[in-house]
Amino acid sequence: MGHEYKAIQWNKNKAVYDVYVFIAVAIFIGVFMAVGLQTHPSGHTADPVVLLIRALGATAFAMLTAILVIGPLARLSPRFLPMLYNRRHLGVMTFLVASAHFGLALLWYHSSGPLNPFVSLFASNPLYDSIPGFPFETLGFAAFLILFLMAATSHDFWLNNLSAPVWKMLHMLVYPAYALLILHIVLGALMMEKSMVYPIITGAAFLIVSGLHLYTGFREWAADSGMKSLKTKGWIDVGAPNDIPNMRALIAPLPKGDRVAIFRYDDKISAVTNACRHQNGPLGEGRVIDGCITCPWHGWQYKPDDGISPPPFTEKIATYNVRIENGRVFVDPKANPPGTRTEPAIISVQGRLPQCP
Amino acid sequence: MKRPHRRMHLMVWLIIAPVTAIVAFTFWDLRPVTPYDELPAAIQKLNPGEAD
Repeated sequence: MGHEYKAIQWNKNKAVYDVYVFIAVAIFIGVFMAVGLQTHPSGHTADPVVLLIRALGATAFAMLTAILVIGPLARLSPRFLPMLYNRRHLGVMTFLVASAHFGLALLWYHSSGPLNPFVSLFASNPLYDSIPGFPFETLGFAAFLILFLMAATSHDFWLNNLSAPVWKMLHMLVYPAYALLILHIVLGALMMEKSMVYPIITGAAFLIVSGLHLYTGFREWAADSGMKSLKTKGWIDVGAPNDIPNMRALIAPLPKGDRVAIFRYDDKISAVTNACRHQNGPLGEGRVIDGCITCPWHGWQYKPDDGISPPPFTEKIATYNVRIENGRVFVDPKANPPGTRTEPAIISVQGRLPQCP
Repeated sequence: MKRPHRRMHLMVWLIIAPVTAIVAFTFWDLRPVTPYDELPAAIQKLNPGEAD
């Protein structure tokens, strides 16, 4: 965590994950090219290089679509939470595939003339007022620049130096990048596509991504608004102890718009802020692992009772006082200063777990 | 502590989703009826000798 910078936190699980993604990318490209070679219009010769350029572009688009649905799916169901853990790796790999698409297209279409390929990219087609002839490559290039910026700043060095809010804001540019990619595809490949398969797939991908983000966004907005309307001043009833899955949390909105994550770890219940110190990740969507609350985004850990990261780390998050009365869990909406130890509410005395170091 | 970006996520998608959908569909709907790779044959059919 905070004691050193790591570009990518490699471990065995991530290495295995990367191998699986690499194999999936190779299969996707292979199938795309095989289908393309088999289904090209009769009387025309399919160009393998052009097909490879399109296959790489389609792969990058599919990967980015997958990345963008992970967040809302994880908010809808904890089954998708493990996918959050490797999302940054998938993002960097998406950039690499997009680089191959961009590089090959630049070489194939813009390197044989007298102009510098980058100059040719912008100067060879000035038909900005035409729909069928629009230089769609510029839209893809803009999206590629955003992906480059994100991949280049995925290092924790940038996260620490830019600060979490700025870094997160920067990485939210992925949404405009996705919109640019949609237009790049529509004004490019789909302009000359006879089959309805590609328009349907592209439209469905965009509808799924935007629909999931809007649905989860409105759901959280409604939950927050409902809690604000209560205007609660005292302790807040967040439910019964059994409403909280063991080793997981219940996320409750607070009257001022904050969110608290109430964790149950065997016979104890503790409450901390829902925002991780690292990137404001949703701690309440994480799990208790080895006695520590573990952020689902990048694995940062905190002890549930005082919100302090285990040694040698030093990060601290705010804690909340919690108690159990008449079979209900109550949380004090007033946050304690980060690192303040609070007494866990005890459900029973059975089955204690390993303590966080 | 607030997670300040969740609300901004929603706002961004409220802008991006309809704008992208409308622009993309409009452009796609205005695509040439005859695909580029069939243009020579189509022109040849209409004006013999002008598709070379």
